[in-house]
Amino acid sequence: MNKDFQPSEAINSKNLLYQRLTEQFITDTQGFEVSNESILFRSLFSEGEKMAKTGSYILDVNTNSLQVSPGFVMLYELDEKDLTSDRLPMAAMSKVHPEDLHELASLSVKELLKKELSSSETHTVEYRIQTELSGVKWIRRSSKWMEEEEKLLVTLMDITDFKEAETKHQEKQLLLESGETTAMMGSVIYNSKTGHSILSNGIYEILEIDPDIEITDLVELLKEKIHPEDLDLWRSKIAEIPRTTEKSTYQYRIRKADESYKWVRVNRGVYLDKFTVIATLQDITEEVEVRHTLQQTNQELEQLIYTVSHDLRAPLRHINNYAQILRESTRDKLSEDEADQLAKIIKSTYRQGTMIDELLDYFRSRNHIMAPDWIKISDVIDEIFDLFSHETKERSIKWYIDTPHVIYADNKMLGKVFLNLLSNAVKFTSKTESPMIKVVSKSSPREVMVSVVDNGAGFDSRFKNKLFSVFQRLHKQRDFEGTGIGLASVHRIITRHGGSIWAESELDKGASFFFTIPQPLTNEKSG
Amino acid sequence: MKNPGKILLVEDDELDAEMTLSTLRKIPLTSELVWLETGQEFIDYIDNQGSGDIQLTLLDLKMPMLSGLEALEILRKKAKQELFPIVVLTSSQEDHEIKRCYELGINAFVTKPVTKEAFNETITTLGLFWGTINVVAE
Repeated sequence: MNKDFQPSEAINSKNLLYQRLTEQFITDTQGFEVSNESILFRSLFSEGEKMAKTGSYILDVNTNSLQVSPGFVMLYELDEKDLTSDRLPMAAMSKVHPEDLHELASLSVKELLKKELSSSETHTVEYRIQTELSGVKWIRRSSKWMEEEEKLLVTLMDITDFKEAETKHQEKQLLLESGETTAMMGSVIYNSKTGHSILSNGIYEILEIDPDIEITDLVELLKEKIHPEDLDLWRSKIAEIPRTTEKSTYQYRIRKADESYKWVRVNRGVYLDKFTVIATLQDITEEVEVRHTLQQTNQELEQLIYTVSHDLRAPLRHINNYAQILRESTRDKLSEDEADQLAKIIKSTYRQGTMIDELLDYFRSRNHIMAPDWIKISDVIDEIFDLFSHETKERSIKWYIDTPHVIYADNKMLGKVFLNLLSNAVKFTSKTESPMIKVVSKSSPREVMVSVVDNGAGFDSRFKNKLFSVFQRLHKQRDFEGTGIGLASVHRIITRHGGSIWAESELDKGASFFFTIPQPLTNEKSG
Repeated sequence: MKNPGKILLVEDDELDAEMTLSTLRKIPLTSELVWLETGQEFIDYIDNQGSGDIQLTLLDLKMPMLSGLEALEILRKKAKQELFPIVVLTSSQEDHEIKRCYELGINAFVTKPVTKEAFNETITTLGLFWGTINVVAE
């Protein structure tokens, strides 16, 4: 950070010094004739030092004299005054970062005392120096003891960039590893042609293998650990690698050390080449357990509701039954009020019966496993039409049904939607003079939209947000009967198909219901 | 002569309303009985007729369109802090609803009894208390 802010005077004087030293180095004759070749080599050496950011020196242990290259002086950013034999060692040492001093110092001492040094060995130590102009630099020092000459050769190199890259790499590595551990995940690059794989630490954790052991054949290892029932799926997935570039997600069980199994999800993603693919493995045992518990809870809930509604129906049946018998046997013997009261009893039992049925139906449909297919909308409407025909027997409703399209949806569920929307339309036009109900479908590449429009009583738009809530009604029982579950069921079904449903209305003018269901592109179907 | 006060019944279920009203009619009250069927009708009534002569309001919670609780919230928001007795009479027993009702300043929360006897007793007690004690000023 300091690099940009040094007084230019300091930089200039150092540069001048280096220039002079370099010239001296290149042309230094020491009294001998210097050939052009020698000058060329020295120039090359000097340039090389600058480019590679290296420096060297030779220490004569007996005379304690030090011969340094210009690169060394530049590397350490030494001043002119430091360049005497007695000052140089201290000047250099004083630049070393206090935390790294110990290791360097003990090596230097050994070298000076020629202790434990052999000619064949190069000793390397890395440390930081603090310089005036460039701040902190990382230095790699390699030293070699030359036995015959009784001299120590030392080469130093600026490895600051390398160290920074190494730190960043380590940080990324740590991030990756902790990420994998947290997500209980591992990554693998697998070459299906050679069988070679590169594995992250996470894989070892998932497979419960000591990370020091090298896995040479991942496929063999997996073959041994995968649950026998899942082997076929896994084999086919491995076999298809060279034949497809599609991503794939699948699951299998892996045997643990304690002989039980854990669930693993594989996400096969990017292809590096035709045979080499990157995949992640994730331990999803917890997720599977939660899902399993949820399924169990749902089943229990359904069972409970079924039982309760069954038990609730029994007394209801009795009330209804005996009330009707009573009505029969007391016909003409009751006053108007009494007859009215009896009628109310019977009517209430029907209402309760309907509520129980609809409630049960609502919960059952939650668990219905969707089986969508291409179906003709008009067929669905025809099927359910008869179900409310008794309500329309004495009325003349004008029907406009224009649904020529085919839709991709669950037949049974779509049937419920139409049954509900149409019987609602019939109900709310029961007090209308010339009732009209219009059903229209519209198809676009991505979705099918259906509208059910009537000219009946409509609903108060102010309470639109309650329209699809469970047990919420927008009409009094006196005006129009109902439980408030029908539309909630419809909403649920449409949502499960990934679609949307909404409605508009004006009181006494009518109501319009619209729903859309997204469709797969027909290209995918025709294959 | 004292103004006959009013007893409001806000209840959407026809049969429940009938039962309540017929029980109230058996009590020697001079109060006028008013039947409103939704939360919206209740709000509108207060807006149009004021609440100065209301001796008691029996308020059901589960009603179509505007519920009893929503009506209470709206009444609360209106600047006029018209204090008139409200007794919530509902099948609901949910804690959060009971709590919210009291926060909105009701006088009592009563769960509708299922049997005829208990129902009659409850309504009679309520009617007697509020209808006679809470006399409208002249």
